[in-house]
Amino acid sequence: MTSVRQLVQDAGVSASAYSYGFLDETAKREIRRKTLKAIAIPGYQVPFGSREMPVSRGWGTGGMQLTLSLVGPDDVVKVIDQGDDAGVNAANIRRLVERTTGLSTTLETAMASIIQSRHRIPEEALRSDQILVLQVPVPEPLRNVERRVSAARVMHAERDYSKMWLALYEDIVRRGEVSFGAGYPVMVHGRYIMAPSPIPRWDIPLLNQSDALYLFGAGREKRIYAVPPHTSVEPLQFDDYPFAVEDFDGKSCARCGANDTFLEESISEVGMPRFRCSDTAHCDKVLESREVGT
Amino acid sequence: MSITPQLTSAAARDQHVFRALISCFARPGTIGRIPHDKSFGSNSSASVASSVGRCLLDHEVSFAFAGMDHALAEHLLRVTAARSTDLSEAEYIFAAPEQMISALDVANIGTDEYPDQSATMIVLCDGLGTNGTLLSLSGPGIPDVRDLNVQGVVPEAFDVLSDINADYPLGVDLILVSSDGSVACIPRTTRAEIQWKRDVD
Ligand SMILES: [Zn+2]
Repeated sequence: MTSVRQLVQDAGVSASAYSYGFLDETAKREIRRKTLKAIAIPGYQVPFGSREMPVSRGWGTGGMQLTLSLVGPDDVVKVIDQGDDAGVNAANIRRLVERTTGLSTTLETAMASIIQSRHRIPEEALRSDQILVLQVPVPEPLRNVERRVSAARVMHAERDYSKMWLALYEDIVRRGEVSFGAGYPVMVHGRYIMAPSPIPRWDIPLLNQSDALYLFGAGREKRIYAVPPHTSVEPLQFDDYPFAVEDFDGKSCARCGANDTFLEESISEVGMPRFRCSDTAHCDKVLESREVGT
Repeated sequence: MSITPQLTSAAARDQHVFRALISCFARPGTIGRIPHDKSFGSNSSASVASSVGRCLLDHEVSFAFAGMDHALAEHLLRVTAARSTDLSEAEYIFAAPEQMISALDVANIGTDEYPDQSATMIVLCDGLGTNGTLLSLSGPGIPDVRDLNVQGVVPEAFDVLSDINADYPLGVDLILVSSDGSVACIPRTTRAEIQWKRDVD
């Protein structure tokens, strides 16, 4: 894999060997056209001509292309990987943005105008002047029930989601619950079933009637889709088996003490389960406010 | 120490226009600001439309004109290298307000499998935000209802737009621009009801 460090060193000849934001203007223009169509048809996957990026596909190239087509001189960018600003993936993308645009980046959710994320939505409520870009490995929510891309496209076209509902039903019969952990399928604006990317169920309600715009980019599979603000996003569910978020009842973050965040479990030195906020920036903020408060 | 690539003035304008469009598409009926394309002369709605064209058009897409003078078409052909085509095939249609209905009648609304392969219509209206036709907008991007005043477009044009977009997800997405640099968008998900009309002098 080409590392960003190597790219930047190679480009040390002159970073101006490539464009502002790495992508050339033709590539940006196509992504911009497709992004507007994606917003106009919430949850529909718009094909685009995904470009080669200086990291391997699967490392967020779809999200990266969206972010780099959006950014301008007034932006402040935040990048997180599974809630963590310090993740390797996040650090690489952050460095790419900094080196190719000169923009400043931030760890604070509230400071960012554009947030690129993998597998999480920040705990802190997003504002109407913020855009969240989510990296998507598998954009097709029907993948597990229909492997043929063209057949899945027809199912979306006809709004024929019977196979998906049947799969959910069988899941409940077999396991007593819907087994989707991350990436729980949702219905957008009552029309398209959409893969929300592998975010936990915890984050699904944040997509519904949000103040912020959500953009989704799948680089390998060349798809862009969107959830505009104030749009209905409903998890697929049955009346007698309603959707539920992960249960952290009685648990709290061992670091900041929060009991209202998505927690990640680890095993402590003495072998006891231990929980921590997955959103590290939020954890820092809670911790800070506690310290100031006492 | 590497040198950070610079944003050229054209690229800066395109980025600025895109962010105005994305914001207005995400929040239908809100009014954004778009810089005039200074290379297209005067501060007219055409030079605002030109900025939109330069942000979105290149050799990969086609466009058509409805009831417009040739100057803008020739300018966009030259600076974007987009293909000029018939109204019924164009991905981007630039329309004078009085031609909006006839252009909508033939505009491409996409297919069931590819509803994104449909026309985006840019209408050069006389003003946005005050006077003219008052539209009551609802749908994605709008908490409850949002009002939008549009000048210079006959109210019936929005009835035609509603009829076409009733066949969602097929439809046409509308970008309204005016000479002061105002822009507002009505994507196909938006229901636009005519609340009130007043003749503009
Ligand atoms: Zn915490």
